[in-house]
Amino acid sequence: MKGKFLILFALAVVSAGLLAGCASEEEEQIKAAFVYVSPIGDAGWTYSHDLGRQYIEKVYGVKTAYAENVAEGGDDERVIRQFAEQGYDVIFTTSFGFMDATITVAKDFPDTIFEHCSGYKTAENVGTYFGRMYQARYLSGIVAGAMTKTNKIGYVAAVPIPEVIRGINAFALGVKKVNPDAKIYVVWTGTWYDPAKEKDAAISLIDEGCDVIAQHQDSPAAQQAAEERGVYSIGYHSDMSKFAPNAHLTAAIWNWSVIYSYIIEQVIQRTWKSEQIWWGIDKGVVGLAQFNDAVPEDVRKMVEEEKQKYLNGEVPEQYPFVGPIYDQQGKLVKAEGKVMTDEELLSMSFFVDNVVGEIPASSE
Amino acid sequence: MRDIITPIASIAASLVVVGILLAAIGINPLEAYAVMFTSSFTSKFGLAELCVKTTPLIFTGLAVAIPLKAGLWNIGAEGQLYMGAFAASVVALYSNLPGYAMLPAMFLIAAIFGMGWAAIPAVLRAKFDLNEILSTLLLNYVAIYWVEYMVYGPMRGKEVYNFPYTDLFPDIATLPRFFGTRFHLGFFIAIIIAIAIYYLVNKTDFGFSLRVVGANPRAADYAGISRQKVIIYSMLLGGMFAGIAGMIEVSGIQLRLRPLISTGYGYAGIPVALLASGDPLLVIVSATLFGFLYVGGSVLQTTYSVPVAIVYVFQSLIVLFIIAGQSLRRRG
Amino acid sequence: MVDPNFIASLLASSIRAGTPLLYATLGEIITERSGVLNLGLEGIMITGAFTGFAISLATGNPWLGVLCGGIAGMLLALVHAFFSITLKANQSITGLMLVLLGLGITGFLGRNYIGEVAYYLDLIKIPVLSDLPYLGEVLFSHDPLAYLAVILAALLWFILFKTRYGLEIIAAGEKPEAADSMGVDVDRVRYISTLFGGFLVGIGGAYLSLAYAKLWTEGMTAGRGWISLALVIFSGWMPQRAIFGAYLFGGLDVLSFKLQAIGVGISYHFMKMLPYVVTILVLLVSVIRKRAAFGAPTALGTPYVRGKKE
Repeated sequence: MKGKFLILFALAVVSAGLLAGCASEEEEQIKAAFVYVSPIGDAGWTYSHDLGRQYIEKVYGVKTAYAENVAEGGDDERVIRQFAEQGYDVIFTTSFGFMDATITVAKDFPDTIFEHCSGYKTAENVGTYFGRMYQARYLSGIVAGAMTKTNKIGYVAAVPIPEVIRGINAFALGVKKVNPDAKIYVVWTGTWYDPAKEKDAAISLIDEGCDVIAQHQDSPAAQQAAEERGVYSIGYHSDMSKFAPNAHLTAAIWNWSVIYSYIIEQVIQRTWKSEQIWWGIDKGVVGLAQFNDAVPEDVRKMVEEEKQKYLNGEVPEQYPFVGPIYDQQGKLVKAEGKVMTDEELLSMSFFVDNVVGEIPASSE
Repeated sequence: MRDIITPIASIAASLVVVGILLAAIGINPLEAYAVMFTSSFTSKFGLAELCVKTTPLIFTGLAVAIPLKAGLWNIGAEGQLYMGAFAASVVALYSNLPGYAMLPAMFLIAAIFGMGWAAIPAVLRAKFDLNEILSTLLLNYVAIYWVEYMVYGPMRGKEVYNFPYTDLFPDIATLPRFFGTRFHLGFFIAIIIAIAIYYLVNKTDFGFSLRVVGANPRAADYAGISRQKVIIYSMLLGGMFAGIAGMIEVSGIQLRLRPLISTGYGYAGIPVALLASGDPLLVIVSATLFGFLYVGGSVLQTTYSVPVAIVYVFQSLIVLFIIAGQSLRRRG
Repeated sequence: MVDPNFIASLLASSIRAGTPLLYATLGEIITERSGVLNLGLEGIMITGAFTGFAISLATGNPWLGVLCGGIAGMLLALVHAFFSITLKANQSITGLMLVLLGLGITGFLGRNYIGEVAYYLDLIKIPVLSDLPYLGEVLFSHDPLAYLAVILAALLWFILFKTRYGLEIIAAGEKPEAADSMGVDVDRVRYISTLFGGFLVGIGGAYLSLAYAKLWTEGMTAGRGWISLALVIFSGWMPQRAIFGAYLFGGLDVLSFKLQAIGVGISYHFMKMLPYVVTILVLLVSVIRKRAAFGAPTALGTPYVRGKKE
């Protein structure tokens, strides 16, 4: 009885599938697919990438598709493979955790181009791309260091992954440059999706005397807290002054469309080859939002000078991660004049000396 | 025969409602359904992925179905899955066992940890009559955050650029895959266990006492069956299967431990078990249906760029319709 | 750390963080007291959050937003009530499906509301009292919904334990057969309790997006619905205890932030676990000591069928 049902069920399903068999149309248009780790509605990471997707759709006439909230490890391989099978010319996987799946599927689809964001493994048809957000963080740190009066700067951070840690350190180095006495206090919220908690974390910092609040989260909640309490803040992802007109000094912003345009142009002209793109402020992938009126002229000038150093190649791309750099225990992590390598940056997991806070210990 | 008409009618009804929603956002429902079917059933990878999703659902379906036979609700399959995955990962990464012993050891330890995690609510229910829905639900969170703590801290890998993952498992700790797809041994293990449980429930003394306690606790007392023992054993069994689901997922698909290894498989076990009316063999069928919902939902996403939120709406509507159908039929 | 400023700001923040939990917990207490288990709080809360935000943005009136948030929550609870009471289906599963449904509907509709600023509820500083040192900050400088929550809790305590209507609710949850024979319409009581519960949970959600975080992101309830379920247990199904529980649970998060802010490291994984572990312990203590007052309503989760014997 149950067996009959099973067979009937299977037959019904298969015949429905066969009956429905679709014929797809060939188009000359370039097709690009995006695999997102969180919903576009996260207002942050995926939202910024999606702005880039919309840009290439509009400007280059690329036909795009996306899948959101794709679970790393469990669902990513299936989704990437589905896009590949549907004939997309290039597939962008926008999270570090998609790395294994991207490489695996790429092996089976040698004619499809795969671009993995924030990863380090490449193949003949797999490239990586990322932005040197830490450069913008560094510059924003200069602003924060100059504007603080209590010498206590708060940083609301989501989870202790290298990217966040790197941002904090770059920011701290910027602060140090103009204000060696200031300290950066880090509070981990442990989440990307909880604006109310982010606000609480910001308020906790403000209550303890911090008068500039920076953040590495997805939402502008920390900015709101700063505005309510009458202190300053540094935004992230995009210009957040709408949420904090008085508090918002500037923001470290992404502009993924620069990289997406570059890649799509290569795909259109059929000149694409696998690269490890890690571009910075000189190419416009990251930047600073407009300054608040409150930021004085001399601070703006200093930021501009430092920014010029990137633009005219006076400093290496890894700047400010050039020695001497000390960790929280006072140990010299990078000797004077030595530059941190990209790999060291990608796996950074210590705090520099003017940061107050802890990173959960990793195994020895 | 009547047992089949209701679920099919409900599925049909839900497809109609969901079809209306699809049309409302500008998608041709017939075309969408066609795409969902073809992707799952007419390609090697589609079928493989369907089995990949179905496998943990069979286990968690059993994890809920067995206690259900005794009248208990195991809402804690998710947490038991995480504990099983955690234990299996520890063995995979640190035990240095030889090849022939590794997978069986992982299997065993996952079963034990899953069982242990279910033992707490089991004993609380048996000895103190504590509502197991509440206790199992709470323990889910403890288990999930425990794994998170482990992965961010002591178990963080060395070759993961300091991200919160463990290292990849050694090859001997991963389940063999077939046909060049992600279809892995776990599927067969799931089927075999489901069949074995069918016999356990329907052909053994234990299975008999299980069903009696669930159907009529007073009669069980008269028959000399120890209610407490049955409650505890059924929950332990349930926890065991959920723990095994965890091991299967990390050694078959994830190949490492990370903070999010389950997309709600433990919770999905509840509708899977209910739709199968608790019957272990029907669990295979309802698990397949749910696997299809997962995979089909993701096909909708990749084909039409439907926001993932719509997929949640579909899944919940389909289950609600089926439940409504079952309830109406019961009353009718 | 025994600095009074630290304590004062901790308490004030705990109250703010605990208020959405308090609304949801109070709502679910009423629902569960009548015998209905609604696991769908997370979905109902996010529906209230989104509806409140959208209405406030469209009308410019945050209070209207709050009200609509409550109504939206009530509508979702109506689905649950229908399935649980009329169809007598399993309550756990419909509750879980409501979570999915709520997250799904709001995620989809909310896509266009990212990056918007809504009209929100302002703080009300009670004159004179709010200038008191420390106490002023802790007790008298909150937004109106926070004050309302406490009043509501007191009101519900009174209604539940001191009025006939409240006793009907409790009876429906403890011994529906007895209540029925006394002339109580068990199903009607359960319907009303579930709808009312959903209304409050929706308000808790609206509080999140209109008074607390003042913005909308997908999934922003971030597990508060589940914590509220734990809180119902923790407070022993008693509204007055819910006040303490909600502020405690809300405060745990804030405490971890404040400790970090002064340089004391604390593992936030364990802080996240803490509310659930504590609740389990509370449950344990209550059953071991067989305190009936602390126990779950006996008929919780069981549909009432007239004439059916256990």
